[in-house]
This record gives sequence, structure tokens and C-alpha cells, in this order.
Amino acid sequence: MKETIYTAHATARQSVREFFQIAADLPQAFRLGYRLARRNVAAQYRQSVLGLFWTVLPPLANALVWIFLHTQQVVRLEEAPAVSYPVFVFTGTLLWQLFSRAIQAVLNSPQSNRMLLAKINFPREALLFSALLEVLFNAIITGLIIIIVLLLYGVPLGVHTLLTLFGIVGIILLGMAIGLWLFPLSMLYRDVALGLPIILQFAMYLTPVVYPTPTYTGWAKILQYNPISPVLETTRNWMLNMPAGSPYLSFVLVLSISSFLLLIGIVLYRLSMTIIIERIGS
Amino acid sequence: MQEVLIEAGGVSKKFCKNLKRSLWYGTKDLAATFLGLSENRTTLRQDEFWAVKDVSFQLRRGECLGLLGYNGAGKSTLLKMLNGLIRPDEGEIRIRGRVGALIELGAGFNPILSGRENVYINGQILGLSKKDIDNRFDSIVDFAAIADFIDAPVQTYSSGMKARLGFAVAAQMNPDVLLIDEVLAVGDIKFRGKCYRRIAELRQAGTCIIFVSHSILSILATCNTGLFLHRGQMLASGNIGDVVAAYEVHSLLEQTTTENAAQNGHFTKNTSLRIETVALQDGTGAACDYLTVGQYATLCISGSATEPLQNVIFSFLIRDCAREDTTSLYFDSETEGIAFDVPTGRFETRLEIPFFGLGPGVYLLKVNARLKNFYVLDADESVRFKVVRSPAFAQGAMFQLPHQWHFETVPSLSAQPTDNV
Repeated sequence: MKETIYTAHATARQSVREFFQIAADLPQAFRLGYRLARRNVAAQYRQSVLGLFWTVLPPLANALVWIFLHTQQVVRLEEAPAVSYPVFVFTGTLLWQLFSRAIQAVLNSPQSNRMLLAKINFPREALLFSALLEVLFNAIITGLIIIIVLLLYGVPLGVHTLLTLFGIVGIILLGMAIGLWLFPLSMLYRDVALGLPIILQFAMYLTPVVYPTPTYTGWAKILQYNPISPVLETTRNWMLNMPAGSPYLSFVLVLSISSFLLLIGIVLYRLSMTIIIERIGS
Repeated sequence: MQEVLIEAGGVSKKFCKNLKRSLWYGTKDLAATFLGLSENRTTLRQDEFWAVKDVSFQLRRGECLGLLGYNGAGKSTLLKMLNGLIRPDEGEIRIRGRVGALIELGAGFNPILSGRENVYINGQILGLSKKDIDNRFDSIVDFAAIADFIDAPVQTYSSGMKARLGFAVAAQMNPDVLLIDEVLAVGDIKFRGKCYRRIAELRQAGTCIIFVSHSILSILATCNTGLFLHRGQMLASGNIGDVVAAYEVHSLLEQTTTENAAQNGHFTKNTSLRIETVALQDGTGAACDYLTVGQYATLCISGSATEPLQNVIFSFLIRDCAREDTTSLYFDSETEGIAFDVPTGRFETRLEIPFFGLGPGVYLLKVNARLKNFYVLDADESVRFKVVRSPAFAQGAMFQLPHQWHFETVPSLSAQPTDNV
């Protein structure tokens, strides 16, 4: 018969044991996560007329604003992007929203289920699976919209387009890794959740979402190290059926580091849960 | 002897009273855990207190432990530790087998989704597989008795229906250890009966149960051992009867204020009669602060009148503090056709009760003096007193009456000696 032992808070040595425990709980966590994701998706749209369309409406609206500004010559770009501007903006904002959804989903899922966390002992990773599945669901809808946009603008689809899937996995992975590392503090302090949208909006303008990468000089050089830029650019290049180009190496580097951070983040998630529940109470 | 399923040794948990500081301690604890620092967890930091301190007990298969204590005694904290939601700061908990918790009914219910969808969500949160739920779906709906509404959104359910559905799902668990926290207080009496039957079944099947309730009667009916927590400390443990007795004696010390000085709490200042003290006396006429079931008791009002008054009526009303607004006894001299003429000066009114029948508990005594037309002269309702059981009182009852036992052998008809000739 399975014996469970609870002692004072976990130390580094226990983290290793936690890791195996997480692995053992995975199947059940996945099934529960699937159930919760279905619940959230179903509940989210049952009370609305536009339904699923709401998943992509905000980035589309955002893109339209930029296209409008561009056609009216309010915004002028130093160098024109390789494809027509509307395609560039649509793909950029839709991919960016996937990234920011991935971060927010990891943070929101435990936050909105805190009563559950505080009262019932279920495999905690279920909430991460539920976040992941919701983001994937989002990605599928986003993907369909992008395909429609590409076809409308006559962008040829080709070999590289298939690699887009790899790029999208990369975007979600990076977003979830960042979310997991913000998670412990965000459960304790609301500041994280309140400040995140502001930071994300700022970050969007530091990333080649609505305009191509400018040549940075002076202090701006630091922006070259923005980790999301190479991931987003590579993915977009593939999507537009172009070779990945120069950001490809950085893309691989960012992905390896964020995979590693994601694994550590999952252990931190499990380790911090009891401490967080103790502080946020019932 | 059955195998031990729960073993708690020296379990303690501290909490912080100040939210901001609590969050900051949480941040520090997180950092210490991530960096693998071992820190001293046994000392209290500023604003911290022990919510649970040094609790130890053992529970075997098929046993049921009743957790007693006032609000804030640490009962829920102890359950959370047993459930693995939070870790103890000191000590160790060992649990063998699957743990189920009835701490919140209908966890994860989404109001917009139908009852059917929510059964699956709630069931999987409680650790049942989809197949389990498929197989038992009909019995869940049956148990909850909401067959007609299973496809309606849960937000249209009454709170009783939600609780029933929640319990019906939870009742499908077959845990080795079951933790129950006050959830059965909701629902009507029929439903509660069902719940208790299911708990009894589980216990029969070998589940060991930890049961938190404020109802002494249901604890006595369900549990064989008990644990009395007060401000995190374990004040009594062992046989449930002894623990309940300890809990009752303790509440006497905490709550009783007899020999009350009524001077402060006058009903009105303008009347000519004042109630000064309200007191209890035992059979010998000596003042006492508690009464004993089945013994002689006297309730006294003493006061003074500034002018002679005719046809003064006195009444004594006794309420059970554990059952809000339940009047246990009411003595009113008017309904008995008795009124008193009170002369100027001091007086004492005594109500003598040869056999005080109320069961153990804490009671509130309300008295008043009035004239016939409901003109209240003075009143007092500040006396609480305790009733303790006599050795002869069988635990669990609310009341006892004077009685006598008789036994005699009855010669059976057939064996009757006949003197027929």
C-alpha cells in the first residue's frame, strides 16, 4: 500500500523525489487537465454569440489598426518588409498573441483555480496541462486564420510552411517557461498579474511584430538580445515560405535554454505549491 | 489489531496574522526552498503564532476520529496537513493508502455547464477516472435525486441540489482515509441521513475517518475516538466519551458568567423594581456556577423595589447556546396563575426545580419581572451557565426525566402452579 510522508518544507534533496512524483502523476494530471480545458473552453463561449471568434478578434483588430495607420502614411517604415505589409502585420500579431497567451495561461490557470488548490489535493500539473491545451486550441484557430490570410494575399505555401509548426511549438514553449518562472511570485503578489500586460505591450513594440527589425545603435543594441525576436522572426519566415535566415541560430539557442528552464520551472511549480497555499489560505 | 493508517507525530504549523508580512515570509520561504537552504522553522517570526502545536495521534483501519474544538482551534489546518495541501513546520505525518477529502462539496463546479458535465469535472478532480464515472453515473444521479435536472446548468440549481450532487459524486470515492470537514451541515434531514449511512458503510468497509463537526451529537454517533484542539494545542484525546466530556467542561470555564452583576444592564431606569442579581443554587442552597443533570436546582432573582407593587409576574426562560434560538425551558408565573405582591425593599424570587432535566451544555438564562399588561419592570439576559452530566446520565441525550426502573419476574401462565383439585 502506498505510503505518503509529509514533513517540514522540502529541501533540495526532496526536489529530486518531487521530480519522480511529478512523472508518476503525469497520466492522471493529463486526463484531468484535458477535462478542465474542455470545461474552460466550453464555459467561455457558451454565453457568447461570436463564440470562438473571440480567440482571434483582439489581435486581428490590433493588426487592422496598424494596417490602417500604414496605408494612411501615419506610420512609415525605414525598410519595407519582404512581404506585403498586411500579411506581415497579421502574421506578426497573431504569433505574438500566441506567445502572450502562453504566458498568461500558465499564470491564470492556477490563479483562477486557487480555491480548488487550497481545498483539494489533485495532481497540480493538471492545471498546467489545461493551460497548455487551451493555448494549443488557440493555436489551431490562430493557424486557420493565418492560412486564410496567406491564401487571400496569395502567399505561396511550400516546404518551409510545414516548419511553422516547429516554430509555433517554440513560441508556446518560451511563453510557458516564462510563465512558470513568474508563477510563484504572481500567486503571492497581484502586482505581477497587474503589471504583466503593460510589460507585454511594451515588449511587443521591442519585437518585430508590426515592423521589421531596425538596425539598433547605442543603448538599443541590448534589444538584439530580446529572446522572443528570433523565435518569432524564424517562425514568420517559415510561415511565409522563406528560409529561416540569420535568426535561426539564436532560435535554436533560445529554444534549448527555454526547454531547460521549463523543466526546472515545473519542479519549482510543484515545490512552491504548498508554500503558496499556506499563504493564500482557503 | 487493525493496521495503522494515519500516524501523526509532533505535528505543528505556524501562521502569520499580518497579511503583508505573511506574503513576505512566503516569498522568503520560496527562495529558501528553491535555493535548497535549510532554515530554522521551529522559531516564531514576528506576528506568527502556532495554529497547530505538537499534535500526535494514530488511527487504525475502520476507526473514526472526531475533531472537536471552537472556531479557530486549528481543526481545518490539521485536516489540510493530513490532506497534503500544506506541509507541517514540525513533526511528521505518515498516511498509508488513498486519501479522500470531503472538505468542499462540488469543487470545480462551473455554474454555466450542465450537471452532467460538472459530475465528470468534479469526479475527476476527486481522482475518479472517466470510466468510474461512466459506470456509476446513474447511481450518482440517483443518490443526488436530481434526475430531471441533470442536463440543466448548475447555476439554476438550489444550494441544496448543488450540495447533494457534490456529495453524490464524492460518495463514489473508496478511499482508505477519509477527511470530512463540516460539509454535512448543509442539506435537509433526509439527505443528511443518506450521508451518514454512506459514511457508516465506508467505515464498515475499513476506511478510517477523521470527522470535524460542531454537532456533539453527530460526533458521538459517528466516532469512536476523539481529539480536542484548543488554540492549536491538543487538550484531550482518546475515547470519544472522555474527549467530549473534556470539551464540555472546557466550554464551561470559557463561557460561564454566573452571579452576574445586573447593575450595568438594566432594561429600564424608570421603573420602581430592579433586578440586581440572578444566581443558581444547588440542592443545599449554596450558590454554584453550574448545574448537574437530574439534581435539585434553584434559580434566584434578587432585587429591590422603591414602592409597593401588586401582581408582579416573574419569568425564567432558558435557551440552549449550542442551538440558536431554541427555547429549552420557559417558566412564567402568569401562565401558572401566580403573581406576587412586592413591598418596598429587598426581595428574592426563587424557582425551585427538584429534578433539573436538561442535558449537558451551555445555556442562557433570561429573566424578567413585569406587571399584568406586559409592562416590563426589569429584565436580565446576561447569565450563561453550564450543565454537567451526572454519572447516571447516558451521553448523547438532550434531556432526562425523573424515572424509576423496575424489574420483576413474572410467573408464566403455563407454569402457574394450579391448585385445582
